[in-house]
Amino acid sequence: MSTDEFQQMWKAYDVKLEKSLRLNLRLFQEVQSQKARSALRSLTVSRVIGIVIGILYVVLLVFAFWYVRTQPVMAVSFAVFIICSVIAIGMYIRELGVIRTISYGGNIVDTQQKLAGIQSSIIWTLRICWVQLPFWSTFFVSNELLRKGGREFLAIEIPIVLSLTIAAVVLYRNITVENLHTKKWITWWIRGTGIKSVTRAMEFMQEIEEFKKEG
Amino acid sequence: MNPTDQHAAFLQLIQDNKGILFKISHSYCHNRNDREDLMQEIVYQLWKSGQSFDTHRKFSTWMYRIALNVAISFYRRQRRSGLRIAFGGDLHLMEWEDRTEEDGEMEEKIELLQQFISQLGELDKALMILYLEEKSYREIAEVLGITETNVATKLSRIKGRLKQKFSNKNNFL
Repeated sequence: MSTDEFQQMWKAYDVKLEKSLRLNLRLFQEVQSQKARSALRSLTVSRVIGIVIGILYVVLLVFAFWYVRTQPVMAVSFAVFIICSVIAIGMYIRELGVIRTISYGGNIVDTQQKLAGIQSSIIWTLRICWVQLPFWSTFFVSNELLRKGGREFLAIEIPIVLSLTIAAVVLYRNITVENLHTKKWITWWIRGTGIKSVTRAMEFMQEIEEFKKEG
Repeated sequence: MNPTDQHAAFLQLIQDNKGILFKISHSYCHNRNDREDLMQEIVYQLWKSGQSFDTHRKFSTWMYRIALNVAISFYRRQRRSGLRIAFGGDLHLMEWEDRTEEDGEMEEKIELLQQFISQLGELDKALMILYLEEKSYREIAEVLGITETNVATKLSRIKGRLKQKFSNKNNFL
């Protein structure tokens, strides 16, 4: 069978469709008035929601920081929460900017690469979230608690802070795109954070890279 | 052009290209309801993107880009969520009119061709559809965003596999 025969076959399919398909014009206006369900819209909505919630969260943190500003351990903890949240919001804003540049009218490789890139970027937000881990064990440590708790308190608190610091460093270093494929415990650890869609987006990114390669 | 004329012109455009919209939807979705949803989304995106169309550029390139980008994104989203988005119950944008008597052998071949296309990766599928639509290598390269040489190499591989599939089928029969 020559390859042109496939095109002939496709043409025959076209003729068949031309004869038997009718466009439902009545429904057309309804479709136009429907809300877009596109991938772009769902990405935009999720980022906008993330930014709004993030800003509210940062406002609360700033109030809390102001309230505890004279208590060094608490103040540092809240400062770290604020910094991490602002970085995460900044990343979402940057992604929103990228989403705005995406057009379905662009070439397929570029458009799909940008879309998959945004879907996989959640990995960076996760890393930032884990950096805060040790500070969840310090944000309540007031001057009074330090004074009254004495050595007993420090004997419990210091190992906890150290363990969480080690955990934060390990997680920060290991939650990477490459490790999603090679280290099962990472995938297990961050399950439930939409990691399946991230993995698929990454696989698709690889597929796009392969597709772009010549030869 | 006033909005009514614009609307009429757009409807005509969709009417003229309904076959390719159906074929793209069919290639990316196996389920009839999903196909219907995809078709609606493509039409919606074409309408929405209409104003951004640069009249100096080739219309078909623009249309294929939008249709295929939407199809790939839709396909990936559906696969991820495992859900279909309901729209309009039993209402269908494309309807079958009187079904014609089909040539059985051709029907079988088309089915085999569709089966082959549905097994390809998302990007190869787009490449194959454009080839079957008899687009030049240059236009395929422009729609996909790869070089003409790359188009030629990939197409020759895919066509080789397709030939193999058809010859196996013939030997089997």
